[in-house]
Amino acid sequence: MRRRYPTAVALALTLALVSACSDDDEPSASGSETSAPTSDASSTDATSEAPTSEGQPEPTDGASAEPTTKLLDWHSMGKPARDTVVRSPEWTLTVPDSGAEARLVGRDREETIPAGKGRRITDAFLDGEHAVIVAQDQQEQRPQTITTIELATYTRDQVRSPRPGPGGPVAYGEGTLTYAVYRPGGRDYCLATYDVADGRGEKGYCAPPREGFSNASVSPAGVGLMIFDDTRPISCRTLVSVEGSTTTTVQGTPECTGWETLRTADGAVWSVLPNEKRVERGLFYATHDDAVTALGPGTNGTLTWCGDSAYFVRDSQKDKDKARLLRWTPDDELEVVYETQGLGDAFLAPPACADGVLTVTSYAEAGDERVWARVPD
Amino acid sequence: MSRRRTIAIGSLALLLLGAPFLPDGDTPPALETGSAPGVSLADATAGAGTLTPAMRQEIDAVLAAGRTAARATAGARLRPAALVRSQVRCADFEGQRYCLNAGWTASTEDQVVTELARSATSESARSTYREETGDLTLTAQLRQRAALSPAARERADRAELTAAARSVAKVWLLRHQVQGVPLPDGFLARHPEIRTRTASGTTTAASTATSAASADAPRKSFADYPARGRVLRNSEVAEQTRTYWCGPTSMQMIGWGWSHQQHSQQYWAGKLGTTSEGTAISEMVKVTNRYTGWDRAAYAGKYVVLDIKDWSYRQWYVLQMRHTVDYRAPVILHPVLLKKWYPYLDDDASGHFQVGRGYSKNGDRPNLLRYFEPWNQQRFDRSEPYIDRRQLKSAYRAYRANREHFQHNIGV
Repeated sequence: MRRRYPTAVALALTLALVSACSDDDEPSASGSETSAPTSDASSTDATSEAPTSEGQPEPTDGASAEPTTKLLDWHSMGKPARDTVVRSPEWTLTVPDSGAEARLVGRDREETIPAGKGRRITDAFLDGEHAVIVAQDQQEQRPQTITTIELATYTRDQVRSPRPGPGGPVAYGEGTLTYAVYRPGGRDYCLATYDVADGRGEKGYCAPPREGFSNASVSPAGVGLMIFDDTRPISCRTLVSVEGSTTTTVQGTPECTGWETLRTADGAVWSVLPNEKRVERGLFYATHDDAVTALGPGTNGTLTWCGDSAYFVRDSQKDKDKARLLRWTPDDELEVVYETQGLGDAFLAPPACADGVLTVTSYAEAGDERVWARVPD
Repeated sequence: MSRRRTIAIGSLALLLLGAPFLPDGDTPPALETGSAPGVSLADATAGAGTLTPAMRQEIDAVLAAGRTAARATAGARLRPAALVRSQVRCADFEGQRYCLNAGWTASTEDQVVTELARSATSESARSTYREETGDLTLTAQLRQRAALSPAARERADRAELTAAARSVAKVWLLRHQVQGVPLPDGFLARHPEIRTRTASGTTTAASTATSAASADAPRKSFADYPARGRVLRNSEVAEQTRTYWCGPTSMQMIGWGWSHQQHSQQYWAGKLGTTSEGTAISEMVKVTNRYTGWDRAAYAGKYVVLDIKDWSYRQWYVLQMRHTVDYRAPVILHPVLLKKWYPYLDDDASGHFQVGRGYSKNGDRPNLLRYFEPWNQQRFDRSEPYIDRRQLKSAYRAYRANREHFQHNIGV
């Protein structure tokens, strides 16, 4: 009888430990978790965790990059409001929280672009040649309206063909727009690329039935995409580059755990989810030629091309820390180019790029700010 | 290890493991606290209190003002800001302020009305709102109540104010325990519904078990809580089956976590009075109190709608820890679903409900919040992959998402 009690206790405490630890992405700091209450105590629950990528092989055989600090020359735009702002050397494009309109302001010109009846603006892009405004209706039933404005002449146009879908990912860069083409309830779900200067586009990659795509990106090297299937409870996600209707898996990316990718001259920068229960936290990598370099932790959804480099956000990594913007240079170096003020918990919204200018909005216990800086090109 | 000690540890472990599995009606389990041997107000919470004559008088006064406003605006189709001014009125219960359609707040009535009027005007200025996941907009909430007959509206207002008045002790306790606000003189004597947990495993009226000195005992701080905590079973999770059912789905998970019996989202939508416009947080709180046992004194006590505008991030996080460890009960999270807070979204969306279920201090790294995410856009289009319904998130991002909601409130 004496032996049974310790066994039962050990089992109970082990179960408590397993359930307390099973969905954290990090081990306990103290290593002592028995006092944490949990209702996940049964062995069934403890073993019924959904499959995660935790423990799956990641490309760790390559080099890793340690960032050096080379802050850009940042200029304050004041405390951020609830609007979104992208700034270029000549223009500022602002979408207020209402999404009812976009305001384009230049040195001697100011224009308002309305979302249209029953619509709100969901994306707004700017480069040296064009502004692109995307508006959709609330329930994503009607085709998105995508308005292009040639800045030199102020000529407005509308993307009509291929006809935009009612929602889905939109990306813009280097004069190329990508967007999803589909009808609600329809079978086809395709990616269109559109040359804004020429006013012409074409439908390219189409997802097979029961698959989809998101996190589209455009850089000088081309279009990147995350494609996924309908595996439950978690989709298998693959990072690809897109050429016409063909996709190619980004070299070095592990199976099913990718989140976003951006093509570079000699490869790609991309992220994976080390823990499926924590989507916001990614591990970033760069594939260059045939090598993979680990760039460290970053925030998913922030990978952005600007000037000659890929940028991504690293939220504060300690209780008392700064959030940072990192640059992966054409020379395969990792640099910290922005840091939040003060110490504490902090994060950045995805940066916005326009004609060699980055706009960054930071949210920090020590104080929010919005800033812009020219980037190397 | 002695046999007696082994049995004691075993009993404690089994109690901890089995505690949340007790069906509604069973004796609440003991919760041993680090501050035992005695009792401490640091662990206390409150059930429903008694409606005092002063409270009745205050409720009558607020309702009388409502009647006056209703007569003045009878038959008129009010603009959103006027709708706010006609319906949002506040009551003072023992020094705490409760505002109809807003919850418990530290703001003045003027501040609440002004801010909500601005939100309502901004809402109506939008050509369309963001993608809706099921949180009732302010204008829709006010119009629903305005559509009632005067008598029905007054009954609804009275019921809301009465429920609020009876939960004032919970609000005082939270402000005391987390924000450090001193309790008023005679508070414990006036509120026998305040219960503390004893080392023997029972709950005791604080007025008899706690001396005046221990009422001022040190509050529990961040450091007093374990490294992590969690409530609700991983398997009792669901995704919303209609675009506007984040409320019923969150309620489904909260109810499921209590009874371990799953009711349909349709069932909870009926209880919540959910329409295609969504669900109000006041209904989420009301239904949690009425149809689950999470509101018992051995758990969270009566759930309230609490404005967190004056809560710092660190206080807000202690509140989450308190709910998990001391209350062992889920939180009704009420964020606005923007991509900048939630990277798994394809589009910015509306206000939203999620189920808060714990935290992780995450060592010396930034704090994390655990929650069930009912929204699964993949169900509705092909631009987002399926993600795990059980998410861990930067607590600071979650706090900012809560703060940015126009009501900046939470169900605790």
